[in-house]
Amino acid sequence: MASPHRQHETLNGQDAAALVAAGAGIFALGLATPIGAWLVTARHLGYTTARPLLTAAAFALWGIVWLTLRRQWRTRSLKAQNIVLLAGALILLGLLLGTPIMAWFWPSIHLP
Amino acid sequence: MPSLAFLHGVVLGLPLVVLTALCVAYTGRIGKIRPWWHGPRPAVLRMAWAGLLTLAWVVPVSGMVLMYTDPSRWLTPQGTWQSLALPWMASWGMMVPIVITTCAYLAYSARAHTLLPVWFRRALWSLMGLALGIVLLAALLGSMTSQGLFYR
Repeated sequence: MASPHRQHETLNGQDAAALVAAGAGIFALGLATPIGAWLVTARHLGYTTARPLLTAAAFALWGIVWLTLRRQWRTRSLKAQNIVLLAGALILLGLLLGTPIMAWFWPSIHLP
Repeated sequence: MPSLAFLHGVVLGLPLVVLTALCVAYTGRIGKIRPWWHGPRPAVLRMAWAGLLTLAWVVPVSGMVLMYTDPSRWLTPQGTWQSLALPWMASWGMMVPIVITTCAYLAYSARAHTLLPVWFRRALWSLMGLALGIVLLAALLGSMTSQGLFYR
C-alpha cells in the first residue's frame, strides 16, 4: 500500500526569523564565556570589562539577525521542522558553551 | 541587613519565577482548543505578559550591572568571584530576555493562526520551559553563591 502523502508544516517568515534570531543570540551569549575566558586569561582584560562588552555584542547580534531575517523572509514560508530544529541546535550549543565546564578541564583559566 | 543580592532575588527574581511559571502553563494550552482565541485578549493576560517582559529585562540586566560595576555591594563575604556560579549566572541569566521576548512575540503572533503548526507549539512551549529552567537555576546558583558553595 502506498504511504500517505505527508504535508510539511510551514512557518511564516516573521515567526521563523524570531526563532532563528533567538537561537543565534543564545549561541552568541554562550560563546561569550570561552571568548571572555581567553580575553581575561591570555589578554589580561579585566573581567568587569570583558563580560559586559561581549554580552552587549551578543544582544546586538541578536537584534541584527532578527531584523535582517525578518526583512529577507517577509514573503516566504519555511519548513517549520527545519527552523525549529536549527534554533534548537543553536540554543543547545549556546547553553553548553555558557556553562563553566572549561574551568574543570583548565583549572588555571579565569572566567569573566 | 540582607545583602543586595538577596533583596534583588526576593523582590525582583521571585515575581519573575512566578510569572514565568504561569506563562509556561498558558503557552502549553495555546493551540489545543480550536479556535483557541475568542475576541480581544483579556486584560489580565496582557498585564501578565507585559509584567513578564519587563521583569525578564530588568532582573538580569540590573543584576549584571550591579555584579560588574560594583561587585563589593553585590558579593557576600561567602560568595566571591571564586564561585563558578557567578560567570554561569552571567551567561545563562542574560539568555532570559532573549527567550522571553521571543516567546511573547510568538504568543502574540499565534493570534493570527487559525490552526497552529505542531512545531510552532513545540517551539513556544520549549522556549518557555527553557526560560523557567534558567530562572530556577539562577535562583539555585544565587543561593549556592551566597552560602559560599560551588567554589573552584
